[in-house]
Amino acid sequence: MTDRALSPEMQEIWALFAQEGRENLSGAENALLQLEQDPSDTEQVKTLFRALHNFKGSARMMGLSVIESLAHRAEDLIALIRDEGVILQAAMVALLFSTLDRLRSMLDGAVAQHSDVEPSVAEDLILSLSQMIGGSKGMAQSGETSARTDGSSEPQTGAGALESNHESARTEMDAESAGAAGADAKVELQTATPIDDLNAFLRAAENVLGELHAAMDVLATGADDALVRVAPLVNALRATAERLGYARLVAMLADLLAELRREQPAQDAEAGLARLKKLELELFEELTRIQESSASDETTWSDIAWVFRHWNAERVFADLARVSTIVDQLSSPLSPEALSQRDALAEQATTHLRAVYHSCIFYHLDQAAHLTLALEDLYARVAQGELTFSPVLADLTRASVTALGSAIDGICEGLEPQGEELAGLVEQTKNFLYLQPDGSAHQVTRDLLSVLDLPHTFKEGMTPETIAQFSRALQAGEHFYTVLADLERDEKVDKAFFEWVHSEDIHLVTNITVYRHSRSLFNFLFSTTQSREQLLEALIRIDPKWQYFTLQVCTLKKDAAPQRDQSPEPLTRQALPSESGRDATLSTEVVDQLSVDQLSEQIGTLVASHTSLHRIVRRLGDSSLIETALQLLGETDGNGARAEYSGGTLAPMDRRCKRAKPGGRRDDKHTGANAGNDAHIAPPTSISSSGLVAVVRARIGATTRQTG
Amino acid sequence: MSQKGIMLVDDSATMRLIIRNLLNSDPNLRVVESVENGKKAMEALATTQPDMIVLDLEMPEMDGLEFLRQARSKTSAKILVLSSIVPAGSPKAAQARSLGADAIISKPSGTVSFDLKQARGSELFTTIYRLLRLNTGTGVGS
Repeated sequence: MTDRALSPEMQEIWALFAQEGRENLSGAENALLQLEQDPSDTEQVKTLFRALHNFKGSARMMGLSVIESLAHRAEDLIALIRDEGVILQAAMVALLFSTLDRLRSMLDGAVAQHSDVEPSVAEDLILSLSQMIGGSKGMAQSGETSARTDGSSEPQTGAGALESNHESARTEMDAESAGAAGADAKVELQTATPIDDLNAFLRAAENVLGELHAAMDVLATGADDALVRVAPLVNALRATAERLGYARLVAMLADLLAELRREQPAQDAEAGLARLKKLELELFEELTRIQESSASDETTWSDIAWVFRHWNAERVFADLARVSTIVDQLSSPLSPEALSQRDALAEQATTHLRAVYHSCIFYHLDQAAHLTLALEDLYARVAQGELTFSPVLADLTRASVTALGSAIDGICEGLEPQGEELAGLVEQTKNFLYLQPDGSAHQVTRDLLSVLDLPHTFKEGMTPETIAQFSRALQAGEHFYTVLADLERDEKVDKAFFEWVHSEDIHLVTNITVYRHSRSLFNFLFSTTQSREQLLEALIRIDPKWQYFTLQVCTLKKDAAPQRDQSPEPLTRQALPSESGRDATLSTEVVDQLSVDQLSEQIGTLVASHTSLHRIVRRLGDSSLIETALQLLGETDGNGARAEYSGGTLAPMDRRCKRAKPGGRRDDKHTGANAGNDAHIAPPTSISSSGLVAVVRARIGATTRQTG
Repeated sequence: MSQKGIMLVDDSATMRLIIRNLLNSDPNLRVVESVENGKKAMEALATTQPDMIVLDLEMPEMDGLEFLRQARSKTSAKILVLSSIVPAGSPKAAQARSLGADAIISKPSGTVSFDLKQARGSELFTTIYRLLRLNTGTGVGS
């Protein structure tokens, strides 16, 4: 743009901006020169801050975000010295001189072009300033601790701290780099905080995460320019990550940059936020991996992980509410256009569930964390088209969201979490794949039932363990039998039968009752190498009058397996024995070996898949992160509240956790067991969706009121 | 309708110029005084009674908070704090409010490139109109 294109008003504004900008930078330089001579001069610190503050504010008004970002970082560093008692060191002075030089050339460039400069111009200094700020925060914290140790009731801040710390500042400067001052101090900075130092890198990453998090909060309120200043920080971090060889992180940061720079229509703001949230989570987890895989024992990441999880915990009810909304959206009849968004919605659900998972770690809710991981796995399968979203999954998710909300609510109020309920939901979620009328798990189950000549309804009772047991017995060439036992009427028979069915030669598969219409077919299914005659003998010993038992062999059908897409019509069975039981027709046919092999293979795949899911869930228990969480919680007060965070901005947990409204409890729950049905796996607890939303909204409202 | 008089208090000349031009573009508003710190604003109040004071916080000589302390009881003007260092909920924002600021908003970003009609819908104009009980339908460009 040239002056000719500018209105007279704009020309006046640019001229004034240039003039005032140079004056501010000169003022800052003079103050810095004074401070180089006397770091305790608080008036000069104020002057320096004000000059950079004005410069930044004008750049912001002019829409020069890159210049604003660099000035802002410098201002942040000076704010630590002015407000938090951080000691002004030679390295800081040198870095600030470099920053002022750079800002001057950036100003000239912007004024000449009437536009912002390229982000790359400021990246290295933004990173150096961020590292310096990260390191200085730690110094401020330790300074605060020593002040308290010394017996003073209040931490020293501002001018007092600057003056009182003046001597130690000199000492530190001397110790770190004798004689380093002025231009030479730049060298000192580079050796004092080498770029490949993991802690320095992690601190810089923490700053980026912090800025991103704050920007996302602002963005959520509708401000569309919140992300502008984050991009240069991300870019700077990416450059360092690239040099350090963190390829995966580099790719993630590139994705994040692309997202930050994406032109986004207002109506897509929510989707944009969801993408950013996902990237934020991935970034954090990758940084955690980098830290965990490093040889260093003394990284600062555990503290950062705590902060990150604290962020998630702060908005956990919003995440739960979002999961609930997604479930509602997926459950409602979708238009053809909306159908195409199903995958994206499921993908969003995984992100929110992952955030909830980190919140659960924060609150030390192991079962809840297990549950979110297992649910996340299911939604990931939906997103990949591996699993069809169903009303059962919707119910299971809603029940889980309610239980998770109650558990977190409870722990905030100092209550013990209801582990059994969460454990039950974990179990249902893990077994979910085996119960759904789609996917390979269902087909394997169906094939098994066909081969074993069991009623189709028996699939409701199939669990991963049951299938594994079938597999083992099939491989071992055992025979399958069912027994219908009436054990209510004779305690002696009851006892003897249970001893027998749990004896070494009998391998109980399941003891659920299976019905056909209103008639009980059997309530014990087991495998054994024994013949039918041997079994009859044993049972007659238990029940000499043969009053209580009906025994039947499960026929392995030659042509039954594998059968695809059969109707769910139950297979015909022969009449059960008469009272004497002697006339039972028991035919044991040789199963088609090929079919069994095929079936075994399918079962193997299924069991492997289940094992994989278990591994994901077990990861929680194995993770050192949990130890970290425990360790950190060990440093907390009685309510599990960490008293403070070094940044000084985090509220104790007990203040965060406001009492939820009584309506938030699961008053309206009911169990859905169907009498007369053979479904013995408890269905997911039903809840009122509107009730849940009310709870979550109440909580969000409480949080907003508290923090607003 | 008579114009509402506004006093600008900001140590940045660029900021004063931009805000002045922006506000003067609205026929309902007129910048009647423009000074660079709280001390000069106190002096100006002896001769000028604006309807509104748009106040920066970070200034030399007398900063925004000190100005609020000294001036709040001496003027009936609405006081709008326009600053980039007072995010909602921050201690400084709370302090400014307790000292009698009627509203606190962030300095707009990229203002000079805004179309004025667009700027009129911005938080700055919305807040000024609300505090001065102006009808949003009366401005130019609306």
